[in-house]
Amino acid sequence: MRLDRFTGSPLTATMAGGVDRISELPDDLLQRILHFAPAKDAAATGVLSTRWRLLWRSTGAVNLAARVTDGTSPHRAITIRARGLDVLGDVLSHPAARHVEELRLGLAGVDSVDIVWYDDDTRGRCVGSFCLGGLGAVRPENLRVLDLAGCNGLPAGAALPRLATLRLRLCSVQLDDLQGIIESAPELATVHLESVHLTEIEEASYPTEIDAPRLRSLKYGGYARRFSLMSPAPDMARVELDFLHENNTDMVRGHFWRFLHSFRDVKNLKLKVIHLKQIAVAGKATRADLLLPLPGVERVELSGLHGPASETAAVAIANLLRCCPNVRDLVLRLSTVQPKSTKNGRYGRDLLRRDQQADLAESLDRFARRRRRSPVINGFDDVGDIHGLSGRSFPCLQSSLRRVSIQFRLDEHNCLGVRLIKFFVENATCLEEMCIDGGKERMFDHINHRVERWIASLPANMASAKCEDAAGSSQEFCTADSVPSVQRECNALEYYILSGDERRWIGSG
Amino acid sequence: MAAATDDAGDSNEMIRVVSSDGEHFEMPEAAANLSLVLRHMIEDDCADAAGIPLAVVAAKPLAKIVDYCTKHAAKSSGLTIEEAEELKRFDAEFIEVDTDMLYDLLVAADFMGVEGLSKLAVQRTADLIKGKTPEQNRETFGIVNDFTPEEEEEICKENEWAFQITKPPSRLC
Repeated sequence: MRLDRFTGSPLTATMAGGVDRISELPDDLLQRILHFAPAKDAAATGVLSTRWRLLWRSTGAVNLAARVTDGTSPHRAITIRARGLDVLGDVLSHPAARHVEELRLGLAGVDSVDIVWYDDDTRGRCVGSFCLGGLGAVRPENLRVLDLAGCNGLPAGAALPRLATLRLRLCSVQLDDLQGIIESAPELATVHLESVHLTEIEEASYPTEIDAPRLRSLKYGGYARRFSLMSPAPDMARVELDFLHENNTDMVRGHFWRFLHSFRDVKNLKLKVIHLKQIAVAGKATRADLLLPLPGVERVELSGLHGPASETAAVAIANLLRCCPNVRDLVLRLSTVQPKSTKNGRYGRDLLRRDQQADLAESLDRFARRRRRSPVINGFDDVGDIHGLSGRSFPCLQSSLRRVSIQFRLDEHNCLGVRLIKFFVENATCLEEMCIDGGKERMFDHINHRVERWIASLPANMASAKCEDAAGSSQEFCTADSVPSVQRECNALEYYILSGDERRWIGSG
Repeated sequence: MAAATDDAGDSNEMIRVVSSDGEHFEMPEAAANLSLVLRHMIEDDCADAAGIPLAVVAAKPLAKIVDYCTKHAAKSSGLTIEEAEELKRFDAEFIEVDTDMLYDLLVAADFMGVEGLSKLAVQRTADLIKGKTPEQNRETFGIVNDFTPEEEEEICKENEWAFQITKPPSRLC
C-alpha cells in the first residue's frame, strides 16, 4: 500500500485508473477549476507537475507574485491578492514571511472597484474590506515596499527604517496613521495615494496636509481634495496628480492649482483631470491667486477631456505653459470621449477594438479619397488659431521647450490637436522634436504634409524636418503618399508621427 | 404573450445532432438552445434533417449533455421550490461520474457553450481537488510527477503555507 507523504495515511482509491487527461485541458479551464477550489488547495496543486506549477497563481483566488531570491532567504517579496482573510493571515503569520521586504496585499477584485468610483459619484465610498492591524510575522525593519489595496487602517507604531515605497489604493486610513508611517520611515521616498479615503477628512474643502520633507515622488489620485505639504520637500522630483470626476468646477480648479503650490521645484509633473476646462483659469485676480510660477518643472504631462468645439482646454494649456517657464518636455494627452468605464473587462476591449477598427476604416477611406485626387496641397493652411494661445508669448516657448508630444483623436481637420501642433511648430523657437499621435490605428497620411508645410514656411534658421514613423505597419502608406524625408541643412526639428497603441507611443519617446 | 406562444411552438421542434463518432441524437429546440454553439447554428438555419455535426464531442458525453439540456430546458422558467430542489438533485447525481467522463464533459460543455453544465463540471473538479494532498490528487487524476525531488522541495517551500496542517487563522484585525 502506498502512503501519502504529507499525512502518512494510505492513499484513497482512484476514481478512474490511469491516463492523465485533466492536464491536457486548456489553461483557462484549469484556472477556472482552481478558482473554485479553496486558495490553499489551489496553491498546493503547484507541486503536482510542471504543467500545474504556475496555473494557480493566476486564478484570481490567490495571486502570489514572483519572489526575489538571493539564496539566503526565500521570501523577499510577496504579493497577495486573496479572496479571503484566512489566506492573508496564513501567509503573513508563516515564519517564512519574516524576511519579506516587499509586501503587496490586496483583496482579489479590488482592482475593478476603482472603475465603480470613476462612474458613481458615491463620494467617500469605502471599499476597504480588510483591516490591517499588524503585519503578522513580517518584520517591519525589513520592509522596503508596502503596497496595500482595499484595506482599512495601517500597521502603525513600528519603526520602518528601510521602507522606501508606500502605495495605498482604495484604502481607508486615518490621516494620523499615514503621517505616523511617514515619520517612522526615514528612507521613505515614494508615496502613492490612489482613491484613499482619509478618514479624518470629511469635508472636501478641509485641507489634507502631510509633512514629508524627504519625499522624492508623490502621487495623489482620487476625488479633488485640497492637498498640500506642511513643509517643503526639496528633493521632490516627481509629482503626479489624478483627479476623478467632480461636478464642482470651482473646487476642482482651486484644488488643482493650489496642489501645485506645494511643488514649485519639482522637475517632473504628471497631471490628469477629467475635464480640462475645469482647470482653465481666466480673470486677472483668479490668475494671480492660483497661478504661481513653477520654475523647477522640466517635464510636464497633462491629460484630460476637452469639448470638441470648446476653446477652454486651450486656456488651461496656456495657464500651464505660463506657470512652467523652464519646461523642456511637454506631453499633452487630449481626448474628446469619456473613457470607457469597463476598461478592464472583455467588453471594454471589444469596444476599444471596434473603435480602432472604425478609426482604421475612416483613415483608409480618407487615404483612398486623397489618392484619387491629384496630390493637391490646398486648403491645408486653414487651420485656425487658438484662443488663449495664439498671439501670446510664453517664456518657455522662446527659451526652453525642446520636445512636444501630442496625443489626440483626429476627428476633424481643424481639431484642437492639429491646431496645437501648428501653434507649437510656429511658436516654439527651440523645438527639436515633436511626437504626434492622431488616434489609434489611424494613419497619419492626412497630417504629414501639413506639418511639412508648416515647417517649410518657418524661418530658415529652424526650418528643417525629419520625418520618421514609429509604426512600421503603416510604412507603406506613409511613403506612398506622404512627403519623403525632407532634410535641409540642420536637424533642428524632428517630428514623429505615431499611430497605434500607447505602448508604442511611450516607447518612441 | 404572442412571443411566448411562439417560443413554445418552436421548442416542440426537435434538433438533431451528430457526435464525432457518427451517432445521432435528438433534443427539443429549447434544450439545444442551452448550448451557445447550437443556438447560433439554429439561428443561422444550419439545423437540418442531417443533424448538426459536433466534431469534438463523442457519443458518450453527448448523450449525457443531451440529457442535461433536455432536463434543464423542461424546467427552465418559473421553478417552484420543489422543482428547483429536484433539479439540484438531478445535477448532483448527474455529475457523479468518473474522471474520464468528467474530463469529456468539461471539454464538451466548454466547446458547446453550455454554461450551466460547464459550471457544474468545473465545480465538481474543484471539489475533487479540495482537501486532498498533492499525492492524492495525482492519484485521482493520473497526473505524473515530473519534478526532480529538488524542484519539488523548492516548490513546497515556496508555497509552504498551502501545505500546512490547518490551524485557526491568526486574526489580522
